[in-house]
Amino acid sequence: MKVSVRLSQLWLTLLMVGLLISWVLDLQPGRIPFLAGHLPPGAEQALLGTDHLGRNIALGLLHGIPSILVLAVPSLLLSLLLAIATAFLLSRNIRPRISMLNVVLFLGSSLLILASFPWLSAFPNGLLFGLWAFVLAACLLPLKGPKLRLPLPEFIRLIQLILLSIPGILLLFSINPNSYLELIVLLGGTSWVALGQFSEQTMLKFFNSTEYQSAEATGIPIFRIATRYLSPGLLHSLRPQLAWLLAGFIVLEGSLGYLGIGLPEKHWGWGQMLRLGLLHTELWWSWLFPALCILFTVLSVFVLLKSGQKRQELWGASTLNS
Amino acid sequence: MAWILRRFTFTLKMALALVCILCLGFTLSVPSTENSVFETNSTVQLPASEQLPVFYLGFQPYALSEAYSALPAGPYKHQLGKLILRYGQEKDWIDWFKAARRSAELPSPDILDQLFEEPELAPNLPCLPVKLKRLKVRSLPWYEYLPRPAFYPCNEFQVWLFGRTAKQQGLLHGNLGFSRSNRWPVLDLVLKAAGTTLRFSVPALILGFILSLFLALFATLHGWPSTPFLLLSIVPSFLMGALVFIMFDWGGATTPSAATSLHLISFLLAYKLPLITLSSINMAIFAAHNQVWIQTETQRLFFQTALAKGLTSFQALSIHALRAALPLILTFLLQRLPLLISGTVVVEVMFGVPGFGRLAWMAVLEKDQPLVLGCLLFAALIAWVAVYLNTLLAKYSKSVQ
Repeated sequence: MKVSVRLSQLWLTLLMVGLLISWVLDLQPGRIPFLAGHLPPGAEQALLGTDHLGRNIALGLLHGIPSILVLAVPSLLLSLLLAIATAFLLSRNIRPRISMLNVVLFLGSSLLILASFPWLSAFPNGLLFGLWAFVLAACLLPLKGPKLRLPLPEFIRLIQLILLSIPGILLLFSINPNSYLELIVLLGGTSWVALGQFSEQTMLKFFNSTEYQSAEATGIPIFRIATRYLSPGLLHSLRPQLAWLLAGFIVLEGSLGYLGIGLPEKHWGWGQMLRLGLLHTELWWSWLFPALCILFTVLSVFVLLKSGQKRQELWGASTLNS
Repeated sequence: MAWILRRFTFTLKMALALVCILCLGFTLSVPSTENSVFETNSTVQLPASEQLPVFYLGFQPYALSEAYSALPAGPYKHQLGKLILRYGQEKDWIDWFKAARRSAELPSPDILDQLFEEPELAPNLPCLPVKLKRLKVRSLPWYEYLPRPAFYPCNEFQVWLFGRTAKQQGLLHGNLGFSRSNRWPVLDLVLKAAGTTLRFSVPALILGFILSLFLALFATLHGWPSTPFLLLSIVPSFLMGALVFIMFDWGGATTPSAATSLHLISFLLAYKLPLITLSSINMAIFAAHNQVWIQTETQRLFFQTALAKGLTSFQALSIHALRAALPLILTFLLQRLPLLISGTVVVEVMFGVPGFGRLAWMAVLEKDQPLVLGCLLFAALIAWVAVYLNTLLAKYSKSVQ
């Protein structure tokens, strides 16, 4: 095994240990004690020194671990889920037949639900929101009437185009989420497009292959085909994309922390530590350690997810996406 | 297939049901207006504008135009409104009123009151123009009395989106609104900031791209792996910026106060640190991709033929392999075009460049929503243009092949 992979594994293991320690210690930004300021690394009370305010840098770094993992990993999983779901719908060209009445009812009630949001309307949102939810529930009834084929693939492509054209960081700026859950939904919900396009190509290849046709002809259930034949190859070919995405999420978290916006108010991460550290460049330990932590995490995630990937396959992704 | 469809429709219905249940749960958890802070204090009432919905069914026949609302308030305005509603001819009434006001020949409000009751008085009034001599009580067709959809903007977001009047139009008419913090049209601010950003991001892109081509050719020639470029390309921009800041900032440099008025060369010299940072990032990303694409072309037959014909490796690489890889390289370059505007936020904030990214950042800090949304829309527009150019390039490459 390569040295870089070993080092990456070691670093991620250290992060996991740090995560456990931070949970055990129940670190909060307010609970980090203020020591004497400007203590260099190796001091008795602070192993990695203290920043200009006297906060222990080692404890700050430990506190930054959960925020990175809590944000990046669920966002990645959400992206993967959305990408695979849309890729399946697109590659199979699924256009469900639904009664036109259902569609009209659904669109109308959705519009009214939208109109009952306080930022778009001055309806007393509580009551009307619930009422229209019941109307939306009525869409599930099997209504009669002329049937309509839903243009689902075209709709998904439109969403992909819209998401591709909105810069993520500015979207986060404009929405300014208040909690990690909102942030995860935003990140995962807006960054699946490239992953979805690549999954679609892979699935199209698979569904046109003789393996799939023979498996279908043999009578193997679709679920088993998906789990046994499709998913291993798909996940293997998605590894470089996932590496880019996970590294991107970690970088984005750091960037938002550095800029001091787009994250919940109680957030205290390596990005903020780096920003404050760079205000006092003479205290080299206050900016060097957070910078190294971010760098090592991004690089190790990237190296680990990309390891074992053949070069041709690895770059097939970039070619397809471009 | 039928099984998949059945499963899919079943899942869709289940998901919708789940959404409905969640909505209901949300409804129950959200405090209604009865329990809200507005109701706890009985003396505080919601303003009438906030009690109206945005879209509602309203009656239009008694609506007066904006020209009427622009008239100065006073007893005459009220009388005039009554006359317009009774007899129509709104434009004639308003023109007459303005002319009479200028020449100070307005009759007393009592006479106008009488005119409201008795239209046959009009021919005897010398001050009225010919158009208003024969007054006839207006009768509206039946459909004018039907309620029709109307719109009333009742918060700032709606005013920003739909506009309020013909003069204060909203986004749907192409007006991005006014910045709250700067008191200046958002479009002007965004265009000015984008111009500043482009002044250093375009040279950085060109510099990075050219350097990356040389690096990619050099690395392919010597058989170097692309891993260092790859690893360099994922280094966060704030780390790269910090590195450049620590390495190249020797003090003494001052940030120019009026960046836009500087000559391009002076501007680039003044902002050399962000230029170096952005160029390094671009160079790493382009080099990582370009090297692999050029390397792939070297395995094809035409490259071997070129070498067999006696071309040196560098000539074969720079002439044949590079040309073959050019569509991919250009496509990737076009893909990165939107980042010229929106990809410089961190670098601009770090080095204090008064550009687009810094404008958006400041807008968020100052809670200037029209400016934030304006920045977002502008960046999205640039991205759409880039996507369209990419599609055109793909079509062109296909037609050439």
